[in-house]
Amino acid sequence: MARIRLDRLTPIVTLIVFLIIWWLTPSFIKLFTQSVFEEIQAPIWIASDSLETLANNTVNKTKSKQVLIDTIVELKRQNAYYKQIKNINENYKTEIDRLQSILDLPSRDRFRYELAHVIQRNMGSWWQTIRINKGSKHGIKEGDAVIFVGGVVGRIAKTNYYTSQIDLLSNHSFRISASFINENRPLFYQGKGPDLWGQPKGRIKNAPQDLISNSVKPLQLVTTGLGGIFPKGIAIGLVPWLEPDNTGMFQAGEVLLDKRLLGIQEVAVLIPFNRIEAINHDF
Amino acid sequence: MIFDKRILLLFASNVLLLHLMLLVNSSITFAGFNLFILGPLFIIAPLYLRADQFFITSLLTGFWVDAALPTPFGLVTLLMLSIGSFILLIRLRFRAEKNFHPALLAQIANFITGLTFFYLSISSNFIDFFSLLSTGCIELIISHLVLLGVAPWFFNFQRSLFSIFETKTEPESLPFV
Repeated sequence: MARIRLDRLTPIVTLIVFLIIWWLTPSFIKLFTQSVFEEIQAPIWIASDSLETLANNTVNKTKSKQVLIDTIVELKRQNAYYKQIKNINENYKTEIDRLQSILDLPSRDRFRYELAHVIQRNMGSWWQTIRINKGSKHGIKEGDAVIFVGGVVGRIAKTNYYTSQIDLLSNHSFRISASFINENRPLFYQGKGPDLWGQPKGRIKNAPQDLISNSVKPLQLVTTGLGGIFPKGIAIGLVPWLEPDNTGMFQAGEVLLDKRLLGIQEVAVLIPFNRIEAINHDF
Repeated sequence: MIFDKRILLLFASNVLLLHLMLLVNSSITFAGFNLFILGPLFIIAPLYLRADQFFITSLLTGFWVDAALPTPFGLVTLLMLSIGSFILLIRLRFRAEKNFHPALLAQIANFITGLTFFYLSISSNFIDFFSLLSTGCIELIISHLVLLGVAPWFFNFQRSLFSIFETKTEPESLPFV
């Protein structure tokens, strides 16, 4: 009878021992290992982003002087326009502050805006996440809202010291209370991922039955402000059609999200002034 | 000796491939899919290194990949160790110095990893099963087609690193030492 060579089983035994150790390891050690590896990777992504910026700058240097002059002229025009808007906004702000002080109302400024640059995009069928170059060092915490020029971007899923990961609006795990513009009745929004053509999508549930939408004049979906993470009225997407849901009491539909989400470059993280710390029940 | 220069070389090359994959994915967001080419990271370590050295390389690479991807931490590490251990057990049957067998193994490892990720994504969200299935299948098919070109290049690159850094360029003769 052939003797069994126990040394042949070394890899299997090692694997089993590792699995047992892994399952017995306390979660804080795993979290520590994960953070160590993530923090090591952060400078690599920031360096990659700097290289990309450098490459873009080099490409810009090859452009003719006339193109640059035209761009500067256009920027000057826009700058003048935005300066006027800024002055008007400052007047409004002064007026709001004056009325607040007369009526003894609390301040409406609930958030500080932290601008960040997108350094990595991960938008496949399984994940829809992006990474930005700001982290806990800049006051960002898990769950903070992220917006851009087209509306809602998503929510901070994980923060490291220098970087943060954002779950996009189209992510399957992203859920939010929403409503149609000029409507107060809240409904439920959830991300749906991209379709076969790469268009990011979401879905809504619990829409009132009296609403009608069509692809010619789709309804605009906005945030409700419920939950306190997102301010009220930030654009989410367009709903081109509604149909009765499986309960028959409400309507459901698909949400077309802003295509600019795919190539997003700059975002703003909304950091609450008075952050309410979530109570951690995991002991 | 546990420490071998090849551990660092394989780890560094794996990190490079992962970073390139993520950079490409970051640039092709308009397409709505990601390239998924993790398979080659699993292969050369169990084919070339001793069991203990393979274990260290896979552990380091696995943790690195887990930290880089939005997956549950430890998943890729466990997959890498499991698939690698299996390859290590039967590695005498493969010709590691040529690209055919490693490329085939890379395709299989990539498919298993893709299936695991797909299972994880549908288990958390069963409503979009068919949508996820269709987009996931397209993503996997394109990734495997790209892998046909990437895997041989990557294995040649790893072998050339062995030569450049004057390490042992042949696989360990006995797999179970």
